Amino acid sequence: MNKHEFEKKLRSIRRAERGLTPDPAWVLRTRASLMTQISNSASASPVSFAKRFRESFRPFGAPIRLLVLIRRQALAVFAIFGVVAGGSIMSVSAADNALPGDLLYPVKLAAEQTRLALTKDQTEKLKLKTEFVGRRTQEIKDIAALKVPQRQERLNEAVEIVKRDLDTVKTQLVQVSAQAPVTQAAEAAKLVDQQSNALVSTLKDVKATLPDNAKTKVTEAEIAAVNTGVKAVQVLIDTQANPETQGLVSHAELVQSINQKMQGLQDNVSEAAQKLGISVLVATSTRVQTGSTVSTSTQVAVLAPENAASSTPVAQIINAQQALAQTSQLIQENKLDLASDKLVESGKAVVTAEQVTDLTAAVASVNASSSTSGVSTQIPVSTSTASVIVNVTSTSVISGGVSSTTDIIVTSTQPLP
Amino acid sequence: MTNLFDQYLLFRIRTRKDKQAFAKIYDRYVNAIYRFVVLKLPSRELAEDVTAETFLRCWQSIQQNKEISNLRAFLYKIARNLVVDQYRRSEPTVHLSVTFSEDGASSLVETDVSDHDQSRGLIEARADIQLILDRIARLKEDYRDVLTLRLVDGLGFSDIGKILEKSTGNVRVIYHRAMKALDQLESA
Repeated sequence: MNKHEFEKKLRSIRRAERGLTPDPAWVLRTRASLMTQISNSASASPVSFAKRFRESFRPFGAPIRLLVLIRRQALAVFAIFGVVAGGSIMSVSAADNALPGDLLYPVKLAAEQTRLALTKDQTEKLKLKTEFVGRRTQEIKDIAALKVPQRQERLNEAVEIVKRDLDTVKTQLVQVSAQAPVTQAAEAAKLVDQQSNALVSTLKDVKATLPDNAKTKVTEAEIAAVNTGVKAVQVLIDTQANPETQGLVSHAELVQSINQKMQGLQDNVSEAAQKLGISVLVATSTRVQTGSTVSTSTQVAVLAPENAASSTPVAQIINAQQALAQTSQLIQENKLDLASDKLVESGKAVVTAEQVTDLTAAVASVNASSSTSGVSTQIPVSTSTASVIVNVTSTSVISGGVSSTTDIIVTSTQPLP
Repeated sequence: MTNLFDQYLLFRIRTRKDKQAFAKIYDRYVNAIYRFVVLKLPSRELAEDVTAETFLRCWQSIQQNKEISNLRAFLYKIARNLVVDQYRRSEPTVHLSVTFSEDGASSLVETDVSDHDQSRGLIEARADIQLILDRIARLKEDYRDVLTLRLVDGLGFSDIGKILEKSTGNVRVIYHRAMKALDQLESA
């Protein structure tokens, strides 16, 4: 018998063996008889506790034996866990540096959402979200530094995300201030304020590197950040009266924060005005009247071309500037809560002004390009001047009841460049 | 996982005197032990007796608190010892193959068609085993045991180790040496 035959025989034996089954009737008979025999042989006395204790240590108790018994299963489970968890941990950590528009960016956002979902405490949630806003800030910075053709689209996406996140932060801040203990709310609000200031400053830096047509989107994010910061300041103002928050944030710090925001918005107003080709002049005068009454008046003068003087953007800029002027006065009067309201108002006006300006510019460029192929039309440029005087709101009162009037004079003296 | 479940059943028997747990052990292994012995013994009746005896011995060992680390290998070991005992008791002059054929022929008469097929397969397989055993008969006893358990019964090295009370590594070495010796025997 050669090797081949030998193997053939082995296979035939295996095959025959597989086909061999005991008679089912015999199996049942033997089972029954075995059961009877073991019933007779087993003692009726119950197993002692000591034996049970010893036995429980025999197969399952001793860790090494148990490990030997289950090593294969344990290894398999570990391997599966390793592949699943290891894979996801790796991809999440790889996604850590992803930017909007990247393939792994949704993974990064999902990981953040998971962290948020796993956090129960409202205040902690808010702090976490604020930390994520910090990340968004860095992302915008990174995208602005990119030298890729889709930079603008990706930047827009990043701005949209940061706006959404800031909205969430604002909503959460309202919830925390209503539900959480006052000290926690104040701490969280302070953090949000700091983060929003950092965001505004980053966005200003980013804006400096961008072409004019790309700036509006960033301004939107900037205003959203200011609004969130203002909300935080409002919470801080509300909590300041509470004795528990003493020492957490001083009045001076609040004033400084509002001033910082005001300065930021002032820059935005100037930019928007520059875009429109107008100049904004602000004059504030303070008059101390007899006794304790102080009257402050602010004049806002806008120099604009005639055709632009009554347009929506200019009107919005006037509104913005006026709100800023009022903020300044309210700060002096120590009415920080009203001042913060005015800041929000000013921010809204700036955004509207910029958006309308962009829209107008886009329409103008479409008109200009269509005219090249057809009838030539000239965009009218007026050289005449116009003067618009807007009388607005009454302001002031520190301790008396005298009010002053802020006059806003809009005068256009220069032609459009 | 098999061994873990076996250990659980043993634990139940030892701590709770759970007879149903032993019934489960019987259900799990009765077919395998029957197949293991039926090819090595001259008649089916004998195989059935040896199988039943194997389980009874197993129960007794559990009752005597013997250490059983691998129930499957333990059952094979008992069965193998019982088969060896059978041969020791039987007449040395009776030739195995002759007995097989006679048994096969007699069982043909009184069994149905499927049993008929099974019996024919049984006879052929027994004849084949005899050929293989003849072939490895000239080898050392250690080699013979490992080769039979591995090639004929298809057991794993770890189980063979437990049955022959050797380490798995040792069994592996013996198996490879035995295969080599078998080849040399053939070529010589």
